[in-house]
Amino acid sequence: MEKNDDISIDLTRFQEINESYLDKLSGDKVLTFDVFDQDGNTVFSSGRTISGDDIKKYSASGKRFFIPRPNESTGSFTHEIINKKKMNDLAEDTATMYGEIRKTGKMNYEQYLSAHAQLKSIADGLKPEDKTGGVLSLLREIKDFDHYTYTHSVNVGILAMTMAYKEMSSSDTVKMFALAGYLHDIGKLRIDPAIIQKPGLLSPEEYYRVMEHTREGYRILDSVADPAGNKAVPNMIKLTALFHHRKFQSPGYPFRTIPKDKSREAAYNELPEISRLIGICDMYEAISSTAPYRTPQEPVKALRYMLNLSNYLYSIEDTYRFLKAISLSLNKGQPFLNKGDFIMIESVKIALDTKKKQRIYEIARIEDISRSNFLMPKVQIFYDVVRRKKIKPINVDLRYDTSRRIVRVFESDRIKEMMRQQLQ
Amino acid sequence: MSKILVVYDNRTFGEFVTFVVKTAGMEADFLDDPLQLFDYVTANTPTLIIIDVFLNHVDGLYIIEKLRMVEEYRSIPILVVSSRNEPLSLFDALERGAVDYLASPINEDLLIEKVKKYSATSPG
Repeated sequence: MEKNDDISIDLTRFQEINESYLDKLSGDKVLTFDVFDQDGNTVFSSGRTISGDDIKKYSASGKRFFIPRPNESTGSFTHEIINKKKMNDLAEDTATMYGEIRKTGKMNYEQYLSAHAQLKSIADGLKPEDKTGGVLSLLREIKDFDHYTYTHSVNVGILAMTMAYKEMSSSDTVKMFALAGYLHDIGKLRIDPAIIQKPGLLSPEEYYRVMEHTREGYRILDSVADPAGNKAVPNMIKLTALFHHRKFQSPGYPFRTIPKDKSREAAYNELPEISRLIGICDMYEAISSTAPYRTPQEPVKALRYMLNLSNYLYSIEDTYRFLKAISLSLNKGQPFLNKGDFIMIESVKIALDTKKKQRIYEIARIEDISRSNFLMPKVQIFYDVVRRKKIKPINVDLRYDTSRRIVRVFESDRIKEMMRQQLQ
Repeated sequence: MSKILVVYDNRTFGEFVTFVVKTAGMEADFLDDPLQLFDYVTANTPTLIIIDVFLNHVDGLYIIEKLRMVEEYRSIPILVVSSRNEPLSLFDALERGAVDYLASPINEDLLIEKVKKYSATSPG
C-alpha cells in the first residue's frame, strides 16, 4: 500500500480527479461509482446526482476527490451515464401505456409507435465511445415506480439495447433489441395481477396461468396493425415474447415435444438469437433488481450466478456473449471473478481414433485476472474431475488456450477451505 | 460408507455436483447415461440418488416412479434438481416420491447439507 504525506487513501486503488472533471458529471446525470475524499470516506455515493454547488461546498472545505482506479492502464474508465431524465420519462410513459393496455387487453398502433420512438431516442443518444468502455447506470435507477412489470420491462429493454450496442451491432439491431426487451413481458398485462403479485409459491393452476403470458404476449403483438391493416410488429419481437422462457437443458415454456433424433440443446439453439439473449437479460434483471418478495443481488453476485447457470438454463456460448458484452459495465468496470477464486473448467477434446467428442472437466484457481482478460484469466489447474484425482499443478493462461472455458465458480467458503486443505 | 449416485446427462452439472460431494468427504459416483441407472442400482445400493427430471429422451419422472415400484429400492431417498422456472415438474417429482429438491444454480452448502441429512436417514 502506497502512502502519501497528506493522504491516507490507497493510491494503487484510487485515482484523484479534479473539480472540473467532477463538474462534468454533475447535473441530471447519475453517478455510477463512489467518489471518495483523501481519507477514504465516501463523499458522493453511486446512484445519486450531484450539483455544482455540492462540488464547490466540498472543495471549499479542503476535500480532494478520488475515484476507484480501473485494474489496468489499458482501457479507459469513462463514466458514461444514461440520462436519468430520459429513463424516468420512459418509465412514466410505460406506466401509462401499460395501464391502458391492461384495461383494453390490446395494444394499438399509436402505443406501439410511441414506444418505438421513445426507445429510438435513447438508442440514438448512445455515444460511440461507449461501445468499448463506459459504465452504465441503468438498473435500479428508476425508483419512482414501484410497479415491478414497468421497471422490469424498461430495464430489460435498456440492458438488451446496451448489450447489442457493445457487440457493435448495427443501429437497427440495437433498436430491435431495445424494443424486443421492452415488450417481452407484455403478455403479463392479460394475466390477473393478483397472481403476478402473489407472495410465495403458486399453485399449479396459477403457474399455468402465468406461463400463458408468453402466448398472450405473442397474440397482443400480433394483433397490432397499422392504419392500412398490415401487421406492424416485426416477427423477431413477437417471437421474443413467445420464446423468452425457453431454456437450454430444462425445457422452459411454452412446452414443446422434442423429436427423438434431436437433443434438447439442439432444439434450443434453433430458437431466434434475439429471444435467447433477451431470455438471459431477463434472468439477470430479475435476480439483480428489487422484485416483490425477493432481495436483489449485487451485480457481482448476479453475474457469478449467471455464469453458474451456463450449460444449464442457457448455453455457454450465449452466456459468454452476455458476460463479455456488458459484465464490466454492470460491475463498475471491474471483473466479476477475482484472483483466488476456485473455478471449474470445461474443455472439449476430440479423440484421434474414434473422432468422438469428449468433455474434460478440471478444477483450478485463478492466479491472475485483469479487465482485458476477465473471462480468460491465468489459472492453476490442480484437479482432474473426470479421473477424480489430484494432478501436478499446471499454470495455464486461458487467453492462449481457447479450448478451456470457465463454466462454474465456487461460492461456498466451506468448499473453498476444503479444497485448499486438499491442495497442500 | 455412504455412497451418493448422481444421474444426469448434462456433464457440467453432474461433474460439479459429484465433485462437491466428494470434496465434502463422501463417496459419489456419476452416471451420464440415465439408462445405466438400473444396472448400477442392482450392482451397488446407493444411499442417495440425485437426479434431474429433465433428461434427453428419458423422462426423469418415469425413472423415479420405476424406482419406487421395486421393494428394495423404495427406501433410497431421491433428490431432484429443479430450477425456479420449472415448478410444475417439481410438484410432480415430489408427488412421485422424491424427498426434496435442489435448485439450480447449485448452492454448494445447501447441497452438502441436504445430502448429509438424507443419507443419514437412508437404510442403505
